[in-house]
Amino acid sequence: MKRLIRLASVPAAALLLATASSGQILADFKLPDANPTSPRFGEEVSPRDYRHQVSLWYFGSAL
Amino acid sequence: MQQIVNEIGSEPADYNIEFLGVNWDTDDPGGNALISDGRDLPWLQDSFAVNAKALWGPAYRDLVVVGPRNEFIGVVNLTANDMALEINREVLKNLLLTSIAVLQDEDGDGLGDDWEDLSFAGDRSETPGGNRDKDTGSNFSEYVLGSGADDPASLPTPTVGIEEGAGGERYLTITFRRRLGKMAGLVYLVEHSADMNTWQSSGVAAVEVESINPYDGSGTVIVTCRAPVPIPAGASAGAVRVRALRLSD
Repeated sequence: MKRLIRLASVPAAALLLATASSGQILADFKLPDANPTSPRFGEEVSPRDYRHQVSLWYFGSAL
Repeated sequence: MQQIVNEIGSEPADYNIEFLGVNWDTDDPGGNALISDGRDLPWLQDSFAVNAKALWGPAYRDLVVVGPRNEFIGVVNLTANDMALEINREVLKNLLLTSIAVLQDEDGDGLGDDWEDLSFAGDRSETPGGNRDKDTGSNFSEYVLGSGADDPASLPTPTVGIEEGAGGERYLTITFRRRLGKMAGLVYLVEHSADMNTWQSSGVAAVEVESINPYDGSGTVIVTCRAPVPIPAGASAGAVRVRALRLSD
């Protein structure tokens, strides 16, 4: 079942999330944690690190 | 965000929910220090070499909910859906409740569904008493202590040590992996004995002295627990062990 929750129309920058269905496995990646007060500061962080957990990923700008 | 989590009844750790942010300004770390100031959540810097934005295709200010198999659960855009409005908080709350529901044990065998799916390639016919990889650890012991149930070279490895108290007294300690969050429906009991015949039990919470999340995708945390009473002076032996029980048992 498609589970996209957008109460208002927001165009997606790319296609994946805009067309993703609930249950679809997301691509993995590794990015450095740039927050010096995070317990993972300096580490390469990956969605795979959070398997067996629920994780919330916010995509925003620091500017 | 914290308010929403509180509204669904507990703290993030209880439901095993992690929050992370990604600076989608590719290879532009300007502002990272400011946005992460006073926060302890991981804040990742996207790059052209990796490009999470291109891999997942989020919109600006999307909050993507990811399940325990790294599967897509849903997405809420925080610009379009102002979290100051109760109706939008309800949408996100319902999405979180949906995501929590996937951390369940649908077949009621004591092994988490996501763990079975990832350990046994989607085969949920294994039982807690079974031993898929035919090593010395049952499926249940590998589940609760975080070793690989489909890898005979991977076994639960609790380790025992001695910690000295402020007054010079010595305590037995045991270090082991336990599953994160309360959704696993497990309780861990640390038991100690002076003679290996009579065991005294104490809850983990009362004696946990250290907890480290290795963030290795195992869904476990490495904890060190200390026996609540010191080794009697002059004692030649002592023992400590950990037992995991299902809350429903």
